[in-house]
Amino acid sequence: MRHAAVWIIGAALFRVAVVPAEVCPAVDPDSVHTAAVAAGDWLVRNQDETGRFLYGYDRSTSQVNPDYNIVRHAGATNSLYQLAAVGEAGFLEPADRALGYLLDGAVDHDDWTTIVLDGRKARLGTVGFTVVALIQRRALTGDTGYDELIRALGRFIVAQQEPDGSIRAFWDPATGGPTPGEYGKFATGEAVWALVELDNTFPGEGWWEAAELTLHYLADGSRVRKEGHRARLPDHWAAYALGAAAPDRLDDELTDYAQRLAGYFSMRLRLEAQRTGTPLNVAVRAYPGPPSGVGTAAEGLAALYRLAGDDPRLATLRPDMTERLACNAGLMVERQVGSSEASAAGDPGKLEGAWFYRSYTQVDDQQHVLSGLLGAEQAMREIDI
Amino acid sequence: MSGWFVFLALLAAINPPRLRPHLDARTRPAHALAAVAIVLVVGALLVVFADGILDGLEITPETWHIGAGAVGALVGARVVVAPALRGIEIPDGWAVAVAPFAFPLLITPQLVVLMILLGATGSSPAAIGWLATVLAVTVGVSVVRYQRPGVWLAAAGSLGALLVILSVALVVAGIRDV
Repeated sequence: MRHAAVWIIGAALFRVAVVPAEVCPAVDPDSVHTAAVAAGDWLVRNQDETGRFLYGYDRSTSQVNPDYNIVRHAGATNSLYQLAAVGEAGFLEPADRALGYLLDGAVDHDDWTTIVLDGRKARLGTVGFTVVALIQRRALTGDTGYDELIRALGRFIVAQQEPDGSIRAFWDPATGGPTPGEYGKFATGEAVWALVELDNTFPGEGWWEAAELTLHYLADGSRVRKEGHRARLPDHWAAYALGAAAPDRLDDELTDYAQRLAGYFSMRLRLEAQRTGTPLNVAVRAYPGPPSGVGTAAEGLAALYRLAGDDPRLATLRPDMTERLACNAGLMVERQVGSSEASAAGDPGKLEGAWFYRSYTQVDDQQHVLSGLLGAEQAMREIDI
Repeated sequence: MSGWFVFLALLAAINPPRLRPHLDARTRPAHALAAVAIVLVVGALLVVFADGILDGLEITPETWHIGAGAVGALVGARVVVAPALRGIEIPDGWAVAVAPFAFPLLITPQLVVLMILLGATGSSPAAIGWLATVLAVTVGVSVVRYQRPGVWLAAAGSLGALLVILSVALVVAGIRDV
């Protein structure tokens, strides 16, 4: 009897604390697409004529966050181009406007160009995203007018690169040089994604050699040691870089890295599916995660899904990846503020299409979830799970 | 999971040296064999219905991997700290095959979660075959004369430590799995 009681209590604890149900609301690719467009609409609706986005908004106080982060601006710009790339041509103009805001900060130095805005230091991530945005725009419009600028921005990234593959995160216009010893948690991944896209666009110009050096720096643990992280970062921008690279460029170390990243993103999405927000669940699984964090895991996994489509070494992972992406898409569609919920509030334009963490939303919440949803839509259309 | 990993994980989960003071096939061979048969049937059912069990619980096999590792690590650590089983009474009669031989001695939380994991992630016949092998080893151990309790406890503790190590590997595999 005593043993049976121990079993029952143990099983209940196991269920509640270790393996709560993973809740995956049913969703179809069309609904996922609609949600991604609604998020893009939020970005555009809250964009001013200079191209800047509303940075953050607290629905409980109706307060706008006056801060701004130029790297997140650049990331959101890319997400708008991603929407345009899947046939939503109406997002091209606002994407161009957001890009124009970045290009207004272009500064030439030596043989390269960087982006300096508001008199602050140039940030590696901003430049990386600007390169990718320009390349996306080039593919969408066929406009090659920015090719020299793209190369010049790429040369800035290479100029920031160190012999071990690390890339310094800042360049200081006051000193005219990189800020030594400062590296970005995500900027390196953003920059290496740009280098891979540069190689795809301008093959044979030496971009791959720079990209490969940094990809191995990320994959072999050098970054962990040099930059003082406790473990290899679940770097979704590195996943984008790997996803953009031709599979025959990736050696076994980089393929293993891709697989490890896919495992992390998958676990993160499974964990999110276990978060229901009920008091008991919050006690063991915490509150449902910030949309930007959830979105990064989804878009990272989506990037690796694309890689797995081309790389036979990873091909067997695609069905499971699709399952995770579809599950997460269902969750995020359900969590998105719809039109009826938004219209009941004071400022529906700042609510509709957004995802909130507690009562706050920020531009990168929409950016990351939107990109993750587009990846999920692609996977769901290609693989029937 | 390789065959050797499965064999060692099942062996560490059942931990025959730890059961030896209570599961005595020298004096009660028929009862011990009946208990082993019960465990084999229960284990086979868990393997065969593993997918259905996880579907019912709305849990992916990858998450179960982590859960099974967590249970194994916890139990293994407890065995290392306290290798002796206490509070087990062995009554007369055939009922002993069910309780306590089959339950709670042989059917343990770590064995249950492991069999479900094996059923959900690998070949069912192979999993049942490995369980049968480990149960055969368990019967073999239970006919060895019980002397020098300290040696048996040391062996039980060692298998507990092995269970911890293998369980950590299960957790890591669960984290890396897509």
